[in-house]
Amino acid sequence: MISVVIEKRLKVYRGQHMLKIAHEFAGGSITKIFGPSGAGKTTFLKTIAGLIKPEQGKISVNGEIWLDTSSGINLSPQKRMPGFVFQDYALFPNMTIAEHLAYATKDQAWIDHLLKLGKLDTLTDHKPIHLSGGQQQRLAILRALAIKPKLLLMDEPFSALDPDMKMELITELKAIFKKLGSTVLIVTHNPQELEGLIDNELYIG
Amino acid sequence: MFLINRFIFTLRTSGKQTLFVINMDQRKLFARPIALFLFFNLLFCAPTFAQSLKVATAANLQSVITVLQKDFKQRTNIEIEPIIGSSGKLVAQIKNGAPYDIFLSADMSFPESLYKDGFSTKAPVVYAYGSLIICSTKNIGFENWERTLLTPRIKKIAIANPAVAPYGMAARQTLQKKGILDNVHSKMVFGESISQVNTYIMTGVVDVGFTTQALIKDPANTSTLYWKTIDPKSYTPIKQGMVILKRAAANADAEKFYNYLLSAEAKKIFEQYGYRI
Amino acid sequence: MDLSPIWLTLKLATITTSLLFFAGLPLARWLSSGRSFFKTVIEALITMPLVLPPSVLGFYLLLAFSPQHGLGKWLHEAFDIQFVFSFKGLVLASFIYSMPFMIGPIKSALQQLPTSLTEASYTLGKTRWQTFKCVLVPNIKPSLITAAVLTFAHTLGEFGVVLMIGGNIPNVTRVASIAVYDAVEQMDYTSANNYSLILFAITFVMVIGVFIFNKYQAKSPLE
Repeated sequence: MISVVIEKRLKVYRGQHMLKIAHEFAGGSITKIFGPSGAGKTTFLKTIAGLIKPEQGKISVNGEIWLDTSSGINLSPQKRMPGFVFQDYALFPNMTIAEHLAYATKDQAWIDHLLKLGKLDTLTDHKPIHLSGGQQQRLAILRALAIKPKLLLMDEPFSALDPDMKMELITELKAIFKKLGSTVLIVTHNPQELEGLIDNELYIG
Repeated sequence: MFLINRFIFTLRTSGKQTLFVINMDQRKLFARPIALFLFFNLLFCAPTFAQSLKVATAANLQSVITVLQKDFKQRTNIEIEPIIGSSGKLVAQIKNGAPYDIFLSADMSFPESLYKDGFSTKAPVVYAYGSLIICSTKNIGFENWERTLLTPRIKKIAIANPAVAPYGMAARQTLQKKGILDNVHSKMVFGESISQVNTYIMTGVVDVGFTTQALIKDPANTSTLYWKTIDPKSYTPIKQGMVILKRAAANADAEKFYNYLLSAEAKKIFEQYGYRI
Repeated sequence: MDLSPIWLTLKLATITTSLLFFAGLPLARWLSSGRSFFKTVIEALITMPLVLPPSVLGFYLLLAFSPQHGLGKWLHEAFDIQFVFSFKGLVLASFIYSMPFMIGPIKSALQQLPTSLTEASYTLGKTRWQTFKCVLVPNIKPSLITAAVLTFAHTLGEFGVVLMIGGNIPNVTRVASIAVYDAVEQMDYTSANNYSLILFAITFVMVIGVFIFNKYQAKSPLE
């Protein structure tokens, strides 16, 4: 079970606004986070990941306190190790697909499984610059999954995939999420997306 | 950092044709201030150009030339402008067109080479004899300086570069005469001119230096210096010669200064600064 | 012709560049992340040699390391080290003087890398050092090369500082730039020309090399 209570000042085009969220995510659930642009969805994910520090907040994940501003607890992203799929993919230009996954984990069997799932097993010695947009996005997802995260944060993870690819991938992912027991938060712009995958919704706006 | 980044940027984008090109905005930005700068520069430079006599002066005369300058001005109301450097450097500049009127060297061979190459109308004449001293800010004891230089206490010895500074040549000669040149060679440090040797001595970065006696009398020198004249018999006399340069051949002021330097009044000033006439 | 000034110059440039590379990388990393007044001050100090006349630096080094007082005296008495008139002194002077050429490009390159790269690495559980080594450094290779080349070339050309504190000692501090100056002073234009041509050729080849390398880097995705 993930409990998140945060207050973060967001700088927007004209002035600021306060992002205030208090929500509980059931363990193993898949939640869709949606809302208008600039509302703070990415900031929300990054705050949970420990990449951004809120003015005030308390985050606990499966009983472990990740953040508690009142008592000064703030675990680094390295200690939290959330799986994070970035909106801009954040792929490492110097690493091939194989190297990306090897950087994340030493479990070769798991890597092979993921590669097959993401249909990237024939491209393992390609660097991101030689991959199509869809392939890059799949790599970003696989990299996040490579660390077998208990909490997976995905920021618009399917935007570059065509509908068929998306369907296939989502089916596979659902199985993996169940196997890993991960709690998943998916940010999307598209309110109709992800029917059939998600258990809950959270609106930020 | 901005300049570096600009440079880096052009290095990186060399595939395009933007190598080292200042873009139009920058050119417009700098054009006016540069024009103004040049204008004011010329404005302020112009007066000095016409009037004063440019005297290329060997570095050892650094202190005495200002006294001569003042005295000459008092007597004749003519302004001179000394340009100080090692004799060798000044000759190189003169041979390459430097606009000097008179050259006061630290020896005879440099002005002689100017005469030979047609840069002066008359052969050089001697205006003074230089006096070499050994000098330090530390009280080392110079009675037996030839032996003292060999001790491990003396780590660095400064002389002027013998190739361009006659006092450096004299220092080298005296070291050779005393038979210690090879032994102290590893301790030697070469000043670009006598001025630089003096800097090294005064800041204490060397233990001793060979320089001109004029340094001692220099009023700008505020530190205590320990020194001893070097036996003049151990080096070829430093006959300091001067010439009027071709470009000032018809210049009456130059003639006046030339004659003044050979006069009794000037001789008195030279002697005050340790030169012999 | 006596080529020792050339070898001495190359030795000085190589040692300085190597030292600056290893000292400069972490320093550039530190300067590129976060913002504080202290960091700004340090960055300004590092940049000073870019705008300061070399003779000023030479002058201050001369005073600072004079064995007669202060730091110079302590070094001299405790360790028998003298920085003035020594090759060590030239290395120190070059280190200070060429630092902005090493730090500048590296810092800029690090700042231009998307922060999400660092963030991604952190979420994978990697430490700052691992991230620096495996993610950041490999992705700024062209800038590393540029920085090293600029530093090397700049050290090759150093003159004002060496003139002040070098003492023109053959095989110790008589670097090529001083040898050229000397030769000109002595009107030995042949030697001056020879040294100058060699220096020109070396630096020209290096700069061309950097250009070609960068072009090649930019081209390869199309293959």
